[in-house]
Amino acid sequence: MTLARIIVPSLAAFSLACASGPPPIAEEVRSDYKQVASDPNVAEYAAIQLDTADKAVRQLEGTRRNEKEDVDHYSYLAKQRIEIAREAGLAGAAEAEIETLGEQRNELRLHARTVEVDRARAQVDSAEERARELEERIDELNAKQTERGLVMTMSDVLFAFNSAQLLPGANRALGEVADLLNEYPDRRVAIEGHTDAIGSDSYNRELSQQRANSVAAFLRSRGVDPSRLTVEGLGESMPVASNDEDAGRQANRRVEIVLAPEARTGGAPSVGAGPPVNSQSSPGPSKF
Amino acid sequence: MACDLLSMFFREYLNMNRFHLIWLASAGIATMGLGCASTPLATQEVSRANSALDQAEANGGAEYAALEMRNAREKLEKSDKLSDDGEGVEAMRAAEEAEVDALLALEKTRRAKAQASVEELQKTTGAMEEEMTDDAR
Repeated sequence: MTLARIIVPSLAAFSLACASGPPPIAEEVRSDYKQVASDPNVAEYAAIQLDTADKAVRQLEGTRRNEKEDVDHYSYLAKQRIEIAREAGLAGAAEAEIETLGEQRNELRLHARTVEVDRARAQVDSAEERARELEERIDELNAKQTERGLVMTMSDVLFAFNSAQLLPGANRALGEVADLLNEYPDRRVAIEGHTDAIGSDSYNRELSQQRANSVAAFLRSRGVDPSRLTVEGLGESMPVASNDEDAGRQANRRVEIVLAPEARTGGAPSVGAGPPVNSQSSPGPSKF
Repeated sequence: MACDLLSMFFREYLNMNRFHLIWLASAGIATMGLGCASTPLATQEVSRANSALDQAEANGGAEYAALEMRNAREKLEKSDKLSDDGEGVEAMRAAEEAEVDALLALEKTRRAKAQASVEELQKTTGAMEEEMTDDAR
């Protein structure tokens, strides 16, 4: 009886003490909180969420352990609030990195653009340089822009008399022609031999054909693709001057090399739409 | 109006000590006796949870935080049902839990999207740098 008198109240006191203490789970949740709070990203980017989480943990710590439903509820809220703070810290850090990377990308873009502009400028410079060189060479070659294309006329002084044999002096002039043709590898080239009206028609045709062949052979030897070349002996059929006087006859004795104005199979020409038009349009005396 | 007042009292109740609780409970019973027979409605909690859920949904939460979105939705439904059954306190708890679930969904979505952008940017800047070193060669 006396024993019961002592035990019952002490048990009651014990259970009361137990019931009024913070729930054991609070300690675990608090330690999760501390771990998240120590993350520098959370401190920097999720201060508000961390504060809310702290309040939620305190709410849990203030809950009596015997109120099971309250304990469950507040521990759930606190845990979720801690997760929210953790996620917000990660989100903030990622967003800050986006900004840094965005700046970096812009710098790279700017740099790339500068490089591109420099390169384009250099390309324009070299294209202009090429065009200028070409113009000079066309002048030198006494070329003419016509509907058929760029016509370069080789005088008969390149050949021995009554022969299709090229003279050594032809090398330089024809070499330049070959270089020019090689700059437009997509265009067809017509090589046409012509004579004056002296001699028989068939002889003249034969001679003009052979001279045109010689020129073609020379150009092939300088790397001009044979499949681009068409060779024709036109004899006396297409005079450019009167055959009644010496100067006219000399002008008629010639080989014309015609560079077609357009690429043959849709291949884009390397520079512009065609070689620049030679301002010097009068035939003039041949240099060769 | 009386109902709002009552639910406000109940909300307070959750944060009160036992002493105040007794006082409040009697006040509550008295109010109920005055004509508002319904249990407190978790109107405020439910609307907060709903707005967080809407926001998470609008930001693509279904894609990045499907689990949290589902939890939030289920708890909101549960809260509704509990309200209908007259379980005011339980309804409020469910609504509060729905709110933190939705808020977590929102932050997870924000984090996932930001991290995806970071990866994307790292790829493009990496490719640009590579291109530039190739060009420099």
